[in-house]
Amino acid sequence: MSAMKLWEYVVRRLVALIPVIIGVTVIAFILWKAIPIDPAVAYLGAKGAQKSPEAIAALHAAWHLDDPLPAQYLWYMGNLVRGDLGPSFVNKDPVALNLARFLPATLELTFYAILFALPVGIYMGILSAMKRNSWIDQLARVLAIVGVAVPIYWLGIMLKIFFHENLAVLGLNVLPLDGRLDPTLTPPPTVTGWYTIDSILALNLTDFVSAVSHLILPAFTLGFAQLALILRMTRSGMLEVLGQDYVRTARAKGVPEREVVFKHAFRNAMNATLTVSGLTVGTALAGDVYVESIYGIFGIGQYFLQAALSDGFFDILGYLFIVTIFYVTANLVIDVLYAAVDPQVRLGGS
Amino acid sequence: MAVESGEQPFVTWSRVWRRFLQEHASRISEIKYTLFLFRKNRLAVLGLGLILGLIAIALAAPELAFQQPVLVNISGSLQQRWIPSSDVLVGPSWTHPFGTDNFGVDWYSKVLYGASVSLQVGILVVVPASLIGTLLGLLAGFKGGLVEEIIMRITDIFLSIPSLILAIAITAVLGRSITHVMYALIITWWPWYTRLVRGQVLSVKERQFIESAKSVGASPTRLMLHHILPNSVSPVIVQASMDFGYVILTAAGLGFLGLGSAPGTAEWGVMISEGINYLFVAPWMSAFPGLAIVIAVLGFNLLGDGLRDILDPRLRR
Amino acid sequence: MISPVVLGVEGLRTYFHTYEGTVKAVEEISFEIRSGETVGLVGETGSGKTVTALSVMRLVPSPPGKIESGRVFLEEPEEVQRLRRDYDAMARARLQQNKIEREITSAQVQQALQPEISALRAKLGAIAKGREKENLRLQLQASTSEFDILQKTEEQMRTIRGNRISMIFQEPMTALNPVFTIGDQIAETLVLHRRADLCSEVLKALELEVDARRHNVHGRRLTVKEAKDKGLAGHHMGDQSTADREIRERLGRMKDEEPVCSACWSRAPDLWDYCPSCGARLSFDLWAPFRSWIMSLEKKLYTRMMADLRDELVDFVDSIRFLRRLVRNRLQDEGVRWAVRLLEEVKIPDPERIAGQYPFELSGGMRQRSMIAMMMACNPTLLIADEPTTALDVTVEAQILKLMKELQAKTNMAILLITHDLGIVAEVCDKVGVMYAGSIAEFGTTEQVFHRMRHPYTYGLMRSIPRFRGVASEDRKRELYIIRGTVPNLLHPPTGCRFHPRCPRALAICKEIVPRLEEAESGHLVACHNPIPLSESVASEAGA
Repeated sequence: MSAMKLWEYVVRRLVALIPVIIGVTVIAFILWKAIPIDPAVAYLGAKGAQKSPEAIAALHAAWHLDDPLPAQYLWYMGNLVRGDLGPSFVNKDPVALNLARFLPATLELTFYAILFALPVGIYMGILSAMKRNSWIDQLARVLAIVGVAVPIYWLGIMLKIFFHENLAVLGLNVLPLDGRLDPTLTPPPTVTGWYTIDSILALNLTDFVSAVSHLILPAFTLGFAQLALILRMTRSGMLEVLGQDYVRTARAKGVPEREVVFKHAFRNAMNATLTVSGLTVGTALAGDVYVESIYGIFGIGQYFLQAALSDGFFDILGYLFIVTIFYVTANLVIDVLYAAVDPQVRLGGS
Repeated sequence: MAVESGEQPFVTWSRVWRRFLQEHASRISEIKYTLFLFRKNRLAVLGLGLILGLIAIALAAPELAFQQPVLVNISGSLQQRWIPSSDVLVGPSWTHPFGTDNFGVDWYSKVLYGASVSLQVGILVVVPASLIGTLLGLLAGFKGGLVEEIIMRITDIFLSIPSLILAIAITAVLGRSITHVMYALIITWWPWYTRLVRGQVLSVKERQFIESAKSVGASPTRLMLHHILPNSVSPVIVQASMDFGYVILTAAGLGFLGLGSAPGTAEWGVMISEGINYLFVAPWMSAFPGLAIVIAVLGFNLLGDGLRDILDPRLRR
Repeated sequence: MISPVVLGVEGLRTYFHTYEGTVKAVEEISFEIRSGETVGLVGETGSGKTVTALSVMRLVPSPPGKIESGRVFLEEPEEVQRLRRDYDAMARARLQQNKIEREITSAQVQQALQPEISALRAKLGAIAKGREKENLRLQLQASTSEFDILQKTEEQMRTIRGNRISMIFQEPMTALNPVFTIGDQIAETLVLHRRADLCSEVLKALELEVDARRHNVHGRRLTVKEAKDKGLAGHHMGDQSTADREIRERLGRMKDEEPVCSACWSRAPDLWDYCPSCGARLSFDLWAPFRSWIMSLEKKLYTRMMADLRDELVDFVDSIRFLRRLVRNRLQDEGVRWAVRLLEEVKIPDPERIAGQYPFELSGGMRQRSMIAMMMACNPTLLIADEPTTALDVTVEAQILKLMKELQAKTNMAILLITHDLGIVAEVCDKVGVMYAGSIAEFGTTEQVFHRMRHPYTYGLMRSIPRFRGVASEDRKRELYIIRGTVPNLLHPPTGCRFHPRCPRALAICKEIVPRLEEAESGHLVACHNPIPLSESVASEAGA
């Protein structure tokens, strides 16, 4: 395997990212400037603004609000590069601090959601293509069509109802519906910010169990839509590949059927799956906003929502920036995986 | 084709019609074949049925509903107001098939009216977004060079922000209203079409009939509009029909978050969020609007899937 | 000495059950192929040639397709065949009593012969002595149709495919998996079917490596250019010893980019971690401190694996995923080495480089050669070639066919060549079967069928070949002969002889009764109620 060419490919992609990220900051900046309200007024609140014009003037100066636009952009970018994302309008702390505080909860939730959606989706997709018209295929086809039609926010709510009402009748209202931890318990000491990891590190089993049980419904809700999409793409990719000549050749060689499907066929169908996995990260980050607000989890999704509803300018910009970095990184990883899996991508194909 | 004096006008028109049919004969038989394939695909027909049902409901809402809203002018814009009644938080029954909310408003009526809002949003977003996106994609793919670079860079930038998040940000910035939601969604959605169409154009450009058209002396514009466009358009149609559903889903989502229509309006997303406070007491408040969304999106998805199968050149003939 | 029969097809019927109805793709096909023979199967598209081949391989896509009846005997020994024919007659008689006429499967034969089979088994269990036991064994094999591959399990078929029967396909462009290297794909066949041999190769390589370690031979991989630049390998000024001079000459003949081993200065392609000539380890060794210990374990493992593929140690290693993967990789490595040798045999230049390349980097001819190498890796007794040259240029076609004949001469394998090109058949095949609409119309040696064809369809085929008849204008003006009508729809094939609607010699009986294959002359079979008389067919050939 030519590791050299793979490395080159990665570097090339990284370089191509730079203008994209700059472009995103430009968009964020445009958004900021499109807001019809005076940021200083929003920050101080209507009453506070009325009381002290000096405070407004001070903010205008500090935030370069009266400078020509390019200068403002440069000022913001300068701060960005230094890690200063401005003060939050939501709780008066620096935006960067807020993001760092809320990020782990979101990451934990998104991680488990994708951990659920990806393997299950891929496996079901492969199986359903392998055994056409079996029960698993029927189920997969239904899921693929209906699953993408179900809104995340609605699913979350329905699950809450279901696990509250009906199962209470059966005596089974097992799963907690809100928050990340049983309110009677104290969270473990923060190492990563992930309750599941930190509780293990602190050897606190009750915390761990509580954290996991609180994650089940939100992760499932978030993962469900991704699952449907992954399942769909994997299945269609596999169906296409299974009709190809080289699959027939593999069978003619005497390769066991399981190997034909997982080794010969799937490697070629992975392209479609990878593509949709990249999208998945994006939709998951977006879905976070819904899931966090429904299940009362304080992650950056919730943070963003509050910022959006209260016109928190710097918060919104900071959030956009962070989320874009994640999304773009995930896609970069996917691109590298493309190259790793498909030699035609790596070596400049036919 | 001279008009003979003394003849009835409709004879002349029928002549015109027949001539039209003759000239476009092959196109017409193509269309007939497409319709035939469509009828054979049961899921697509089901999808179309659902959508037509939806449209019918949206149009006939005032007749089908048990309660009508009142339009009130508030600071320059018309808003819906629903008259409260005393049947507060009643479960599904004959008089209130979907129950009532905390004001006693008939939920079934609100859901029906919500259909028209959603459909309007769908059209007003998908049509402009697809047009803009397709046009840009055509330009990018066809012209190539600097034009392509610029367009694709901009597209990439927009596509590196998850769509929903960008939509929330834009709506937050512009202010809460359903119109702003539509603007936000158009801005979020057009890049997908550009990318799609450009890819199509690139591959169509390579096909042989383009070379033969060029060798006969076709001008670039003619090449682009008459040859390339019709062959690139089928994935756009498929995508647009599925996007209709997704746009409705996302718009309702924004409504759910409080960024769309004003509270109290009959919009499915807003209705679901209103149901949260009464989640365990009156679950029907959140359940039914969501169900409506599922059915709508399902309809468009089935239609889109069916169209994809039908328009797939490999499966025809 | 008549060579033994490699493949005996009897009464094969394959139908496809689709929504629109049942497509009767192959209807009662019977023929034989002997070892060393090349049998051609010709016919138009849709005549059932490919389905026949797929049925033999049991690769017919099974939801719509199904092998309804028939038997396919692989390498049935002559004695068994003789006995079996007797048993078959007995079984048929019994089945006829129960009104079962045409649907003969081995399962039914076995059922009909149940009493005999049980008796034989009982006797076999009781008697332990030589000749009688041997005889009984043969009888048992005959009565149970032991060699019919249609009744084997899928597991058994998997050991047959790619191993005893191989198939190469039409489109080399798409028949190779695009994400694996050529070497890897060929090696896969070997890992599947020649594991024991690979083990011995692994052991040999291990010996080399152990030796290298013992004598402290270490090396790195360098390109020839690097070696020259760094003044190594006998390139020092003043180094005049013969050995050095030889090395220098050898390196001089190689290209600059070729990789060599710095310990022994011989070629060391990137494909392997160690030098094939001296055993020095050339790539980064993660397990360096444990290497000797690992190697001794490997020696033990592969020795035992070579002796018995189901050894307990082997099973144990197999059960741990990580170890199983390591073993697989080792075997695969040796497989690639072997693959390089195979690529040489199919006349591919620079086989080591090709082995490391992907299919899309190769030309059509090279891909087809690689396919051949892959399918010949285990020396099958039968090679089925389904239109192997249709997608290739004519010159490449000639090379491929020549290659196939050479390999056949070396290994004495049988070839079933499926094609629509009568020219190829004339050049390459010993015998030919003409198929029409799922049945064999005519079968015989190439000479018989081409020069003394009896079936009207064969006649039509031969006449249809456009030929240069001469410059004279009368010759030029003669019209091209065509067989009127079109190939029938196999959903609703014509009754009786399927060719009768298009046949210029059709009689009333042709519409009613399906003609059976009958001998016209020794070894020449025709399925026709009104075959062309000998005089006419010979005359037509001469005068045409």
